[in-house]
Amino acid sequence: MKLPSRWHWPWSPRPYECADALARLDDYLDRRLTPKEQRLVEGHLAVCTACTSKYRFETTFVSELRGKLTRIDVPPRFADRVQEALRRAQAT
Amino acid sequence: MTAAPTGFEAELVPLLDRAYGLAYSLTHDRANAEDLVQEAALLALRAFAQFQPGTNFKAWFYKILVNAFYGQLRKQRRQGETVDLETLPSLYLYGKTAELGLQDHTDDPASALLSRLDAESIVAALEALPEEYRVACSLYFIQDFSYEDIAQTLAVPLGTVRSRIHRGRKLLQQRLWAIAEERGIVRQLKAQATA
Repeated sequence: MKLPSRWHWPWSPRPYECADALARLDDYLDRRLTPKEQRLVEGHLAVCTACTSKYRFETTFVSELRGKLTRIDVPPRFADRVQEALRRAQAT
Repeated sequence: MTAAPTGFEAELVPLLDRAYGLAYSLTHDRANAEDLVQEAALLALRAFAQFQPGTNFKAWFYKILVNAFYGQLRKQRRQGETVDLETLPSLYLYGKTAELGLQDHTDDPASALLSRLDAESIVAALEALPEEYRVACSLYFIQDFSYEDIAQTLAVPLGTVRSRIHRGRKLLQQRLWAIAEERGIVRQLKAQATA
């Protein structure tokens, strides 16, 4: 028997709609969802290409930004200069 | 001054490169970033006796660095920018790239846009954020700090961290789009999408 797409067992949580999933996008990106919310979001993404596209965009945005910002060039011998300053301070 | 307690440099040195990245994202100036890390390192050395072994040295040191940054700001009497936080749109960049038709042209529009923006552009966008958002987002993006670490570093509640990160991310998207427009990147993407 084929069940309607929005059908769910009465004792299981109501599946997320787009609005539910999008309301949790920020917390999903920050890994702050509860395991139950996480399952419900993933369940929705499995059947909704529009939300999947938005989630993928935001996830990539965060990872690309993080990747670029952690590659900021550090001046040559920067750590040496800080350590020299520390030693000078200890010597005085 | 007495010699540094054993272990101070061993704890500090592995953090220095990332600390420089954080300082640069806060000051957007290479010389000031170096000075800021050096100032924080000296302050941390003097306060190291108060550090409790076994607790989070990284969060402790960044707290000192961020406070040193706030101290510099107070000296410069720099005023934070006023931002209308009630009207921040969600999915701003997603919407903008969709308007360009980029979603139809590539299955990874976020990378298509961000690959054209260098670290300098992103630091410029971060610099344009109000201070409290800039600091929280820098810790989040550069240090990959958890909410708990950011809350400890900034001495603010978790809910405050959450709202600063969420709003900061939205503000950052608006700034990045403005920079992409200024630098002709939007025009290039539009040409690519319509080719």
